[in-house]
Amino acid sequence: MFRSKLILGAALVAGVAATQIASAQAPTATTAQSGGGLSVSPAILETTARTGATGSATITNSTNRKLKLTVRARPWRQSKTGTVAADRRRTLSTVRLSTRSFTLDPGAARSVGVRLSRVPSRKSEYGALEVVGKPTKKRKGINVAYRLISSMRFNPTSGARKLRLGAGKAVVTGRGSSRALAIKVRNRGNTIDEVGGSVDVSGSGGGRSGSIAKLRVLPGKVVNLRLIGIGGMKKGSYSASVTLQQAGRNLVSVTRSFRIR
Amino acid sequence: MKVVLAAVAGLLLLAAPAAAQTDVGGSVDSMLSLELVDDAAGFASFPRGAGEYDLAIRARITSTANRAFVSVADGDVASGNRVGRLAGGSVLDEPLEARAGSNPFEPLDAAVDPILAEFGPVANERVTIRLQQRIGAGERPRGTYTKTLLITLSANAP
Repeated sequence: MFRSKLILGAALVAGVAATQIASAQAPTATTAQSGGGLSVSPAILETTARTGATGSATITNSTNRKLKLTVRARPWRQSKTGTVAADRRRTLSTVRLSTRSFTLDPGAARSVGVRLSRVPSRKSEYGALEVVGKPTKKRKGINVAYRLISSMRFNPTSGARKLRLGAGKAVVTGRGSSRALAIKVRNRGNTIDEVGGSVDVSGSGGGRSGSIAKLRVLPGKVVNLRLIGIGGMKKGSYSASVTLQQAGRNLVSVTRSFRIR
Repeated sequence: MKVVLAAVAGLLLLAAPAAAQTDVGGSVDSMLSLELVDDAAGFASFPRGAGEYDLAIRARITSTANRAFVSVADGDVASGNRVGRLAGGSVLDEPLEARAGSNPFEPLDAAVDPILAEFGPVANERVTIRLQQRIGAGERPRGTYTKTLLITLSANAP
């Protein structure tokens, strides 16, 4: 009796342990879902830029109705402030998708393959994956539809990686307490490593220094990189010593003059 | 011998989780998720004529992106003079306008879709998008109007 109880106990313990291991190893397909709605995962699809490089995004319809899906690879547009938006008027010719339109039943998910068909001359490609989900039936009045924009990053190979920044003139933006100093920065490299650094402002009305909030700049684009808030500083002439960093390296050190009027 | 082995195995299995300190955690796939909570209906007709008409769309957002934003775009046309305007019996003079929270209304006929709200990483964050359509005193809307609006959740970094 004692012997059989021991064997039973050991078997139960082993069984529970096995169940725990099995559940820990179970597929995590449902972890990407959150309540209802339309979702895309991953939010950033990142790989090395090689011809034929592939990735995939999973689109899940957790709404209670069938949706008509369209998927497009779009180029980004970047504003002077650094904000990016997918350009709805263009598609990214270097990226091929395994499917571009399909319907998705409630609760269903589908994977869309992404392939870099050609590596651009700058050896990297950055774009947006646009997923639009519309109800299959249109009605009068406002029809709301889903649009999700995730990021595709085809980074240069380590040998082709180029970090280069160009610094332009200093710009004073905003008014009153929200006045800030910015500098025009062009990304002359081929990565989207964050651009940051430090700034030291000095002049007739005092000084101020600090670190620069990091921002990703698309290759070839120019943004007004915000350096530091200068709200409350007196009118007069100032100079700003700016060091720009990317990927932890000091790439540019410049001094720029500006006036607060 | 078998009894002893089984007992030892059982004790080891029992003892291991109790004695060891276990870090509890997990990984979450990066994702963007948008839920339109209620299916707003309206703006099919404007029987009162001139004035301001309002409509609310409630959304819920989950995002693992460091920076993401919500905007509204015209889902029917991407360029031309119908962008952001309800169309049907005629094309309305004034564009649709949208806002989130207490921000000012932004017209939807701009070249760049207006950003209504910005977020860091969030889970099930509620956002109410308010739409407004103004009908001018001299305007005579007729028939029924339709417009597909793309409620957009976008990563705000390339």
